[in-house]
Amino acid sequence: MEKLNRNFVRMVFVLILASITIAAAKHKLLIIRTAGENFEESRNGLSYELEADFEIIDFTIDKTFSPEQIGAKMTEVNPQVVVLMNNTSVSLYKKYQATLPNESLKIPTVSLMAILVNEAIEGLENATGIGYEIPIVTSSVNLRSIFGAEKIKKIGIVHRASFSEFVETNRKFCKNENIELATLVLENEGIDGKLQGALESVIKQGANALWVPGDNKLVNKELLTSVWIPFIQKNKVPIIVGVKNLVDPKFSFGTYAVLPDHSALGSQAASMVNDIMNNSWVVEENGATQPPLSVYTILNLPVARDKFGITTEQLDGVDQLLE
Amino acid sequence: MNVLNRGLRVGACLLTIVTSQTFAENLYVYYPSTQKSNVVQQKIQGAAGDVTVTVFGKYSDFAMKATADKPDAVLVKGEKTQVLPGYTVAQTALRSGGTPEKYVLLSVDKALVPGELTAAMTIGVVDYNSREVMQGFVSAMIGKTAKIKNVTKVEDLLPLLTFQMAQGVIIAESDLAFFKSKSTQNLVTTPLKSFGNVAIVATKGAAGKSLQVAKKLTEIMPGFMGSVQWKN
Repeated sequence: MEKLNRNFVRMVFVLILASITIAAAKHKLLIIRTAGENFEESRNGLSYELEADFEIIDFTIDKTFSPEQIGAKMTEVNPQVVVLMNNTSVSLYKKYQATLPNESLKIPTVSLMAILVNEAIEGLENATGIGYEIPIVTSSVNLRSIFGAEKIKKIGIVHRASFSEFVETNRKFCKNENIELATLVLENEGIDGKLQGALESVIKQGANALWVPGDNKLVNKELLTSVWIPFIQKNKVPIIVGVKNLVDPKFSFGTYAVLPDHSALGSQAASMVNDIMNNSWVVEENGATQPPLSVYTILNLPVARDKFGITTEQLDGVDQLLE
Repeated sequence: MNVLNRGLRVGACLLTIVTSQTFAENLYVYYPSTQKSNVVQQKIQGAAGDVTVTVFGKYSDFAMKATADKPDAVLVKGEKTQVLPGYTVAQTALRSGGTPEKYVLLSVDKALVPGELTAAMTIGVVDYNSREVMQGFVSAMIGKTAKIKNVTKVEDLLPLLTFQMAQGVIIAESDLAFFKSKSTQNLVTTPLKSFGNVAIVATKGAAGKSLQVAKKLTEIMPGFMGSVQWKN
């Protein structure tokens, strides 16, 4: 009996040792993120792809955290790669990296779910990322596949200068898809008085759909009531938005929402982590970012059906219908 | 008398639970289709009788849930080596005429010749299995090792071409019409090898109803997997 017990203890010891060895053989990946369901979805997508090769440490922060706390976590974990989710994490990590000696090798980072990620990671070394804004070409091509190529040829966009780079990059991709952009840039001052005229202008240029930027200076409660909704009631064009609330049928605003698929964003980040690992932990092109590849689409069914005559047969490509 | 009634009621309840556990089947479906999983789920569930069908749009979601829940049957793309432990292949779907799946290499403007691909080029593919399996699949298709870019859904292969993140993407020939209908880019193809099954249904027991539902799925929704021929 005693021998049996001893053998059992020995076996448990060997198993523990084996587990420790396996864990030790894995690379370490630190996720720095804020709390929230979308972040968890992205983390799960990433973890599924990488957990065989990586020990994944999930570090949740908030705006009260300091760069020193990021530094302490980095020292504790000693990761090969860091994944930063949202602007708060990117900004804190940037401040932490700035405290490191100039000549030190910088741990590679992949940033996602941050607004205008290419600007957010500017100044970070050994950094790459995935955009959070859905490319206009992706939204337009998806809308066209529901409404038909003859109805969606030109997309109207009113935006501020901060979106100019994004819009102009997309103009080239849209052209490849035979979609034109009719655009108008608004100055930061006096938006309330100019928005109505700007929208009328892009419609006059022949826009047969509008793409609404995720910019709360242009889309807020006041402007929705005073400009956007009255304008849409007069002009029969589908409205593409990037927020689910804006296609809620009770608001009579957005027609079609195209959102990031958060789990797929995690998978896309995992693919970038694999590329970095295969490149000896160096980002191939510092500061370069990728667009998000996968989207989740939502249609405001009453508007699509009643205003544009969309039938059930045209809806097979939509992820969610709101009634 | 009251006691007898209560006993009968409890007995009836237990019988209902036992009956439902004995006869109800769960079928999990993962196939990288151009059709949305929610649409497929809705259409098949109405015709599935007492088989509960769950359709997954992503392989990772399917793999995690199937491993945890161990459904009575699974319908998946690919080969028997992909089946979970404890399951056996009960039915195989091939293309009409009993032929294997045909694949093509899709690119923009210029058809890619696999022999001329360089190590710097990237090929996109849907990850309907682990990264290692997909790497092997791409190598087998183009006859050499290439950098691969995995996406989770068939439709996500188009952005890879649009944003020039891959020089070409591997698709089932049956999906070509979807890409041509969605994009006006000059999409061109290079035929690749025909390889493997379209799908398999694997069960951990008899699961006869699930096998019927799997067949019905391809009849009700021919666009889901394209035209197939089932083989026991």
